[in-house]
Amino acid sequence: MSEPLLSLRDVTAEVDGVNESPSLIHRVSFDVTALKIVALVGGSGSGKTTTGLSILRLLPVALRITSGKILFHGEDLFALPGHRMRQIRGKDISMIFQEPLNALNPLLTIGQQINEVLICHMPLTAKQRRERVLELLNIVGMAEPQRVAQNYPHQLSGGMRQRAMIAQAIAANPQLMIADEPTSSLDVTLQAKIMDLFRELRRSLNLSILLITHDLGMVRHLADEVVVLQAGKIVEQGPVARVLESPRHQYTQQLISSVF
Amino acid sequence: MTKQTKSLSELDIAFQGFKKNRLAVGCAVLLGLLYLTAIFADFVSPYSYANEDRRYSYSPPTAIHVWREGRFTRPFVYGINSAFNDYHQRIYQEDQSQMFPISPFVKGDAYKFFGLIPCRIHLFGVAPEGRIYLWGADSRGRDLFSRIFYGGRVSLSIGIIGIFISFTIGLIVGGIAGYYGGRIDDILMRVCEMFMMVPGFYLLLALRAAVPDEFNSVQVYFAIVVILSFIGWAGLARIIRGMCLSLRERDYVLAAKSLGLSDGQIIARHILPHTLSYSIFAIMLSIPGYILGESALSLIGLGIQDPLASWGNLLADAMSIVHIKFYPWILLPALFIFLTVICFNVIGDALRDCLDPMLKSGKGA
Repeated sequence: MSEPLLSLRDVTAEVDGVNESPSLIHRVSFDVTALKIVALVGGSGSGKTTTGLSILRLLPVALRITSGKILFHGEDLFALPGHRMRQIRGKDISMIFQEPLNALNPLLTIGQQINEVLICHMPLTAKQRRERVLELLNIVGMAEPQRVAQNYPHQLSGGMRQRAMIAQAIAANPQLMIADEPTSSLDVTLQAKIMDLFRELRRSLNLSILLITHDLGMVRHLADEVVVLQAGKIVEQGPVARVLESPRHQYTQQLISSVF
Repeated sequence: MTKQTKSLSELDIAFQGFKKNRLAVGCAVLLGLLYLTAIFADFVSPYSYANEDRRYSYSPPTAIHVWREGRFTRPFVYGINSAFNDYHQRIYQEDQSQMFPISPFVKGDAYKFFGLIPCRIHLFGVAPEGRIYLWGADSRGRDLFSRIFYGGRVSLSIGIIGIFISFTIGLIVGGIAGYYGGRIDDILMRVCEMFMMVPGFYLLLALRAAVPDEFNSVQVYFAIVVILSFIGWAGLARIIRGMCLSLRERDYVLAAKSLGLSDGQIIARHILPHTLSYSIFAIMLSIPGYILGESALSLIGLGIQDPLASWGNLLADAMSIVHIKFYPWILLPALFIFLTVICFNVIGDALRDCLDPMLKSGKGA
């Protein structure tokens, strides 16, 4: 197998300035190989989101990575200067969030917000960008791209907002998308549709996905590999079928038994 | 699903609410008229601001007649004779032997329309041998009616330009301080506090004293604008900074960062626009401060210099109680200042009512 797209090596994050504080994530190591969907599961407060944000170096001011490396194509993201990191965000690695209504700016239309990403990362003319916005909305399965592009987030339904956010995240053709609990604010039928969309995107855009979730049902249907986090430490990782069928760690067993 | 094709933004909705407030709409119309008369001051006023005739010092408002020899005629004024009374005061009397009809679009003092097209036409006036003082004359026999409109140019524009400058500085400083926080925030806010610490009017006087004497009137005008903005931006920057501190924690700011937008783009597109509803009514409520600031400076002779007019230096004459007693019309510029300030405040309050979501939900109960 070739070199992994993204690999975390012994990443530890702590609360800044507090001595002897328990680390939020402790020596977390895993790989995301190209075209794979890797699920990061765990209960609330297990450090899933912290891990996701630390990949993009977007941890809140109070938190700090104290040791470890995050390699993207073999390049250490922590060693990059700020402007290089900004080029990677959105262009190579993008992220979608749990609550799309909060993650979209209420004062800008969907079209404007997707356009912004294109301005940042793609050398396109204004006309090409307009076409690309419609194309993207089409890719994520919007029925009326023209109208949606002119809508403000509050005018869309929950599922459409989630799709709009995904359109924003894939606008610059990233290789990896971090999806932080993408379906927990949606109902079950919509969850299934978003999962279909993820599969479709992986196939058509060669997208790898790091899926952060507590929903084991989603993991079973979507992911190839799973990493189980408990209190900031990895307790188990491996192919989905193996981990879910014959969990070795007690915490994984508890997680599974509480769902199925 | 609504039928409209174009989506309503929050501002459109707020504007619809504003239109329901009759008082505020009335004030907006009045303010619009004041600005129009200021822009077209050359045309609206019968004389230029410097046109003086000392024979008519403190001439009272001229009476307009429409009745002559038992018949209606077109409006006209009589000539004015003056004599001195026992106290060496001038007494003006109408000279009924002379009659000057008021005609529309007469030729008068030359001016440049919009500063470009040379022009002599005025909205109304009388033949050059007569004088028309609708709102009386000042000590040098200049027409107060004309001078008020010319003065409006200075007084009304100073508010707009001043707020534009101080708002630009306030938004940038507040946005940067609030977004980055930490040490940058500390430094910028301490600078703001230094400006806020000094009592405004004394700072104004001190800064005015630093302006060279040889400045011409245009330079003085801009010096005053800059001085007023220099004092005004700090309070605003503090409030914007406070709003930005909470706005930067919003999810869409994190989302924008995760998409690779630069700090400048995030501040300009995702943070500052959310302070807009506050900014709009803060602008309206701050403009009177600039108008009053200019008036105060001009009133004590440190602002716009004679013969140029501003509402403040027109009022300088009214500082003596004797003048007010004998020539009460010289207080008219104060009425204009008063009206303008009231209008801006009413509009600002109305805008706050329809832009502030907190107030809106309260109103429904």
